[in-house]
Amino acid sequence: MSRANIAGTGLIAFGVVFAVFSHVLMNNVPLTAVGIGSAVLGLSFLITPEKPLPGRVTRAIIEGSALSLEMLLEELNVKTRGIYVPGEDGRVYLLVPLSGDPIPPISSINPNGMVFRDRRGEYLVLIPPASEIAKVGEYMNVEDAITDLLVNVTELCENVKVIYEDAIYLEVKKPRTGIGAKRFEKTFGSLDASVAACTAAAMLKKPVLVASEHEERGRKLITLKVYST
Amino acid sequence: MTLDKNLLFNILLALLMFITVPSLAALNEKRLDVYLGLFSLEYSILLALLRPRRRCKDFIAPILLLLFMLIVILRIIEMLMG
Repeated sequence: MSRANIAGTGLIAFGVVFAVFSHVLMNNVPLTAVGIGSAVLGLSFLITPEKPLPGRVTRAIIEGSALSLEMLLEELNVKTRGIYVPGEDGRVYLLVPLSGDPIPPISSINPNGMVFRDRRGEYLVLIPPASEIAKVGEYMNVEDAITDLLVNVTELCENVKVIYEDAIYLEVKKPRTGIGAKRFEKTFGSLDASVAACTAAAMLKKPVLVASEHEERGRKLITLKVYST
Repeated sequence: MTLDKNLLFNILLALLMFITVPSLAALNEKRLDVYLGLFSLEYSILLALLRPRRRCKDFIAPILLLLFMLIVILRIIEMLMG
């Protein structure tokens, strides 16, 4: 049990007992309110998730994974932009078309190898660095999820504005990515775009493509195309 | 390095709640619904502004609102009954 959980439980226990005593025995409203306030605060502590890993460690793990994928892409000579597709198992996969333009597959995917075949063609299947992180579904909407994962969990940027309309538009302020993985960026998009696309695909359960990225004076504009099927 | 917004939410909530109680007590406020109303208002505003992460669906705001509504309804019934 963590310190926050112990504090939360203690505050709830104290709050409930104090509120009941203050109301029943003393008939004192401000003290009853103090008890209720303590219980509310305790509950808030209890439902706040712990942060076992600092953001910079998560970022380092993701960067390591991206560098490993960079070597694989170099070896396979892959240059095409891939599509982030949610799988039946809840994991997000990157499908790189082996020929033609990036078009998502028609059928739902549950790949068990590196090549996935569909009526629309053949795809190379890769697992993006943020695939497992994006699976953690404790967010109310896609904007919140992308913001929290980019700013707090991975610390890949200082701040981000997310707008979800016909596509997902991101304005990333002070991005902290610079691993120099050119091949990875061609296929996955930049690391922050990859994390955002992976999260969007996991949350919306729809295929997502990193459509464009522009960087200027410490901010980056990213457009994520969301496919309807 | 910025302060974790989940921690900031809890700190601000504690601060606001423990400012509210002495302030209302100093004004000699004796209605519990006023305290609960302010608690739910503070909680909802902080929730909307900071959007902290939660382990599960946030059930505290609806509970606070429900308690507040219950007290208000009881007060209305009391007034109607004379």
